[in-house]
Amino acid sequence: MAIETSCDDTSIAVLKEDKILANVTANQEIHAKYGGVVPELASRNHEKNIVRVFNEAINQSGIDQSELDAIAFTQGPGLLGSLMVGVSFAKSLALGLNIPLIAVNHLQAHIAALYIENPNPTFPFICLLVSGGHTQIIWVKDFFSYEILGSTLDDAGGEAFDKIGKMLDLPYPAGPAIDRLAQKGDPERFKFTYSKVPDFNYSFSGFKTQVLYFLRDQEKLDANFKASNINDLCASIQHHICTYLLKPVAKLMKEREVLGLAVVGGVSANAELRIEMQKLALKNQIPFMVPDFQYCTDNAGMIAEVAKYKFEKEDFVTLDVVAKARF
Amino acid sequence: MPKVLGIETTGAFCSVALFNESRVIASKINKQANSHSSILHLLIQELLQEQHIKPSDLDAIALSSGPGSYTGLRIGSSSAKGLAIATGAKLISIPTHYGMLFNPTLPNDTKAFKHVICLTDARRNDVFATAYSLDKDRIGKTAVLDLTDELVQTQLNHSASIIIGSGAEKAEALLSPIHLYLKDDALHAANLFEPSTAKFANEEFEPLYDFGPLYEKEFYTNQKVSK
Ligand SMILES: Nc1ncnc2c1ncn2[C@@H]1O[C@H](COP(=O)(O)OP(=O)(O)OP(=O)(O)O)[C@@H](O)[C@H]1O
Ligand SMILES: [Mg+2]
Repeated sequence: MAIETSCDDTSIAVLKEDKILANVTANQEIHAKYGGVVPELASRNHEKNIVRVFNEAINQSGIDQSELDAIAFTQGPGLLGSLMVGVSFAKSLALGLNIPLIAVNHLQAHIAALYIENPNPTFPFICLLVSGGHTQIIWVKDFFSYEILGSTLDDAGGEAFDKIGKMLDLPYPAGPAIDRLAQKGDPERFKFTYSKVPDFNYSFSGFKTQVLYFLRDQEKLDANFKASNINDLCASIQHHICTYLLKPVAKLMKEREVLGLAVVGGVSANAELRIEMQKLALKNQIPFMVPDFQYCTDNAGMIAEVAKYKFEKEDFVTLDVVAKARF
Repeated sequence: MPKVLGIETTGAFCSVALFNESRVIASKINKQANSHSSILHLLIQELLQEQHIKPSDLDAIALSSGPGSYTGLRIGSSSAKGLAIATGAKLISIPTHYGMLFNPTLPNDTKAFKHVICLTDARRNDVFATAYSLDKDRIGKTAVLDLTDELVQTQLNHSASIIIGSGAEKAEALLSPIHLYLKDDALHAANLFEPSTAKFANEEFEPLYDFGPLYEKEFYTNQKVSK
């Protein structure tokens, strides 16, 4: 059994051999009202939801809790208060059922989401991780052997979607809404300049400011500018972010011999990003991997996938293990 | 004989205790402030091992359920619920201030006083406060009080009370000497023995899927509600 409570989704999965029997997630809609995750509220809701999610996961899996062989949990990175709920609950289950406890790194799990459907990827591959909290280019040498080659210097890709979405009056998290509205818009209508940062890194803060001023100027001319151009705005903004995300990946592919390309994290649910990454892989004639939608945003299925490997290696932790906000 | 595990995580120190219906069998406290998240399960494990008891032998988990530190409340509650699910033990909730009334340092001769007021820290100048009669009946509700507030001070000085808990020190500096201040941190899992034994006998258990700690304070954020 795997437990994920790093941000605002309470998720529990049950994995048996190679199959995920249940992957139950309770989302916390309440944060939309505040335009972002409120940590104390998130912690309270995890505490409130966790038993129901547990019961539902056990029911869906069709197994009896006495059959569980290990309990895995997200140790971090994430919100400390949220993580603590999952860690405390997991420790109690392990202690009470007298079975081992496995600590999982949330970012490793985002990558491992790939292995759920691709159990035998070709290494090394480049993995672009884009989520609400992270944007990294990762050189994956083996299942759990990586090197981070680039990161964002400020906001994460998902955060850029969410913050710009907020400027466009879209509800939090705005990523999925932008994706949906962009389908009906013109991606070439509005152009923005790309922030130049060294090596394989990213920066989204300049772009955010550009959009802010652009909207302000346009609204002076037409008070309804945002609403009447929402589809084109979403399409252009999404196009800018996706194109920008791909630039250092393409650069890296020229420099190294790469045997695969992958995109993971919440933003890997984005249609344009999936297609563009796939095209890049096709151009280089290498396999492309992306997790199934249900394993893109935070979920315990991906935690279970890491736990599966750790269980085989008997990589267990003791009951004094604590959550870590940062790794 | 039923076996009950008491858990106290609402204050600075975390403690656990094991009871049967007639006595406290053993208890443990860790006096390293705010290390609940690393210590709690080790304390439980050691306590049970020393008493040669398996987790599955537990009949109930008695939780000091708040108010107190939010993080502490959640560590206690998530842990108690997890342990109850895993072992099939029942969950018993004892409001933290009510549990404090069973603290052994309370004087036997209390005739000079009319009430016991439990005060625990609620950050800034605030304390969580609950008043009880000497017969341990609660008077009104648990409140969040600002002890520097003169109206609050006047009210609290209205009649002599025994003031206990981590807020007693703060109170002693601000209130009149008519009260008896017991500044010892009155929180300990062993205090849960009497009230949880009574609840166990009456089968007053909490539904696991619905239980939550007693925060006793509206959640507050600076984050603006967006349009
Ligand atoms: N279809 C989509 N298009 C664009 N962005 C999306 C889409 N679906 C989800 N997102 C974005 O993904 C992010 C959430 O992803 P995820 O749940 O992996 O992040 P997180 O857990 O908040 O951060 P981290 O994993 O770094 O701790 C949000 O920013 C959301 O807007
Ligand atoms: Mg995530």
